[in-house]
Amino acid sequence: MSAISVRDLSMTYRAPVREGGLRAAVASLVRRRYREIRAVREISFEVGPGEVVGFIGPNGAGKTTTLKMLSGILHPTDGEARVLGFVPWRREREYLRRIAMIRGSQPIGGPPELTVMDSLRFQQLIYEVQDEEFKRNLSELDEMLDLGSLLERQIRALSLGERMRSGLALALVYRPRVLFLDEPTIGLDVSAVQMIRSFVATYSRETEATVLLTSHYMADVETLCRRIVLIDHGCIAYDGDLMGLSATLSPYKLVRVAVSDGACGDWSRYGEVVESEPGRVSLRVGRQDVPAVTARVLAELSVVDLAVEEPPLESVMDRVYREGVA
Amino acid sequence: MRLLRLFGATFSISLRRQLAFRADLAFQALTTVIGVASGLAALGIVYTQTRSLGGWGLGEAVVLLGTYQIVSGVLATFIEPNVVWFAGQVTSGKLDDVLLKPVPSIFLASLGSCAPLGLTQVAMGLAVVGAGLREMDAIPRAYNLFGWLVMLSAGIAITWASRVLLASLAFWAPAMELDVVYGAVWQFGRYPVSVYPQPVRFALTWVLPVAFVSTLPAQALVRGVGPALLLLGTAIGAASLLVVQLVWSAGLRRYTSATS
Amino acid sequence: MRRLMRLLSAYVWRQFLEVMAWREFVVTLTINQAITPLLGLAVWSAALPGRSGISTYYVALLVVQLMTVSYEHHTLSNGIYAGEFSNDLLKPHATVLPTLGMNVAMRIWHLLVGIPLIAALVLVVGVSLDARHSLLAVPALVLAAALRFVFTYALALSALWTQQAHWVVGFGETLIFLLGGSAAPITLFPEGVRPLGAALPFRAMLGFPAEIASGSLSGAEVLAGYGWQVLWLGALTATAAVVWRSGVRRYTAVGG
Ligand SMILES: Nc1ncnc2c1ncn2[C@@H]1O[C@H](COP(=O)(O)OP(=O)(O)OP(=O)(O)O)[C@@H](O)[C@H]1O
Ligand SMILES: [Mg+2]
Repeated sequence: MSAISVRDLSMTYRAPVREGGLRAAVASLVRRRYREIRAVREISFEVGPGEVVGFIGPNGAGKTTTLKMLSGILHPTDGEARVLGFVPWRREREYLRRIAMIRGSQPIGGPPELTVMDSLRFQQLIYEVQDEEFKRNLSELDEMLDLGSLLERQIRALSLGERMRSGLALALVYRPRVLFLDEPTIGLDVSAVQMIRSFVATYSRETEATVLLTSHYMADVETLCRRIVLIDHGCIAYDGDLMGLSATLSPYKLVRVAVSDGACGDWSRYGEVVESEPGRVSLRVGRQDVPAVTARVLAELSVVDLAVEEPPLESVMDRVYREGVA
Repeated sequence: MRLLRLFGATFSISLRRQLAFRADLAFQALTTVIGVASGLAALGIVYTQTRSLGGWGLGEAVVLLGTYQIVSGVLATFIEPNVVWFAGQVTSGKLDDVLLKPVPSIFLASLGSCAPLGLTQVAMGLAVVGAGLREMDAIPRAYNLFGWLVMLSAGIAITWASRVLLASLAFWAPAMELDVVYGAVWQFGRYPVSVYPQPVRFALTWVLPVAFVSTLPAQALVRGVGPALLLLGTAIGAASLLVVQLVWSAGLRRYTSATS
Repeated sequence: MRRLMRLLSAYVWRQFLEVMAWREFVVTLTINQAITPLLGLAVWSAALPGRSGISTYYVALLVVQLMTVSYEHHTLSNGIYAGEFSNDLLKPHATVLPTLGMNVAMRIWHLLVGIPLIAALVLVVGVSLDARHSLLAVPALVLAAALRFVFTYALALSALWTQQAHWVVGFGETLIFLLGGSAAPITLFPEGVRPLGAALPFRAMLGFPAEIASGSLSGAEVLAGYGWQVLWLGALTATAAVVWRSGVRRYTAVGG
């Protein structure tokens, strides 16, 4: 049985259109005009238990909307979804106890005057976590997130990174089975990002929790997710493993060559030159031509080093976002 | 039961929060005292000119004012801090957090935190009720006391329901912020509804049920209450609880969380 | 002086337009301001049925209330807390001008919004205004408006010392409600405290113009009332100036 199963899920926002000016304001009292925004259009996908799936797409694609529907914040306009067998937007207590939604833009809710520990205790109460379990979970979280000095501090005085760490602790202290992470690394520095990444990896491995993660940093997705679901303009454009994505999306590979004599006039007979400096070059070569081209390079030149690489995901995604999936 | 425990926890959290702001504390307490005293003084001046206001004697009117202060204190302590400027909360994403918690959302959104200092107003209201009874030179019969408590509970239920109902309006018309108007209409509870001319009196009983907050409970205490009215009060209190639940869940269906 | 008036009217116009953006909210504020006069009207009509002049007094009081509303604890104090006050200090003219402009704009809005309510009241409760009394009341209304502004402004300046300016101003408003003629007309105060009520500045800010308009004062009483108004305006303006000077010294020293 899959942990998350989504069928034909759609969300259409109705936003009132307001023009400027007094006359338009008066007119809008009488007859409102609405603009329909089809944020999510009949998407379907399944996620197995324990899977970590990257949910990616350009700005405004409908990622946050989907996560909100799956965590029960929004009622969809159409379609079905089951998470752990529950219909999310019924918001049953047993369901809410098993999930967590963490938003990078606002990792902690609740009164900012409270200390992190106060908030943790409150979570314990709300989620009915037994004392012993609470202590055990907390000490594990403490180890992974280095909470120690944060616990006694007031939330309002925390930096963004500290907020994110505390937010994770607050959300995970009750051991949710499904995690929705919406851009968890947004605005964080390099080492905080590393920490969050390895934390999510460890958490999902040790608790076998299912994770659905959105991010605009491809490195997050590359390190954490074997599978990605790509959404664009509210529709699913790709669903499969990460390697496959670059294979289908980008029909090229990068061939990096370093030569000893430095005297090589015309690289372009091997492939399209992406960058070059004396003695060194990167070539873009069609996938099916790679064996032939490398053989020719090795035969004709005195090669010091040669590597065949997938193109960087960022640039692949950039093309997808701009041009769509071919 | 679980909600009660939760309620206790939020109360203690809020108390700790409020204690952190000492100066606020002193000023708020002072303001409460002054507010109650000025209400009494205003009433006092009226009774230097007349012996009866809409059929209520001085002591009776004081009991009513005390009852009004009690309910106002409950409103200020438990309800108002949560739902004030609710439309802003809805757009700021605070409601998202509420919706994610495995607790009835209406409970967390409308009673999830409180301002314990408002309880001074409840205490002063009780004292004022006592003073009014003394002025009347009456010891209430047990049945009257019972009637007062029942009607008071109904009044508090109606208060909660109406305030949450007003806040839920934000789901349909987020630009309409009627908090100030609610506070203004609330003021009508200071005096017995019988002082108001007829269409207003009817409206204050059945449309904006201010009468249930102070007039009817006070009446039950000083004059007794028939079983019919007692039942009616209870029924309306219960009905308002039901209605607000329905409206709230209808509102949630329309909620389009506008956070990124 | 000419320049000052030009600047002030420019500010009033600007703020008037700014308030336009949240006019729905001004409607709720106006309703709120109208409540205490309406309550007074209801209570005193019930307490002294048939007594002439009560309804005229309270309708006039409603007009005075709307034309003297002061929200300096929101505009000025919050500006101080948010640090916008520094911008005002930088302006090459009297610092009070933006605040005063907002004050006047709000009063115009309150009056505009309140007109239907006032008209309805005049129709329903019956008001007997005569031209002579109304004319006599106009200067008193202007003085009251000035006095109320100076009073609230001085209290709102407490934001320069404490975080509690809202309570301070709220306290002032309670006094105005109780002693200014809103809870009860001063003329109905018990014998012993009436002269005190007549002499305090609160009546000069609110009740006095309404008393004149409802014709409940003799010529000598009107004259005495004007005397008190002028006296208090002088005294409160001087106080506000002193408070302002030491407040600004503190603000610039501490840096907000
Ligand atoms: N509450 C709302 N009301 C109206 N439209 C909305 C609302 N929330 C989102 N939208 C619109 O729905 C579309 C999808 O938004 P969503 O927030 O799901 O995108 P996203 O994929 O999370 O984008 P990002 O990467 O920028 O976070 C956008 O066009 C957005 O403008
Ligand atoms: Mg998003």
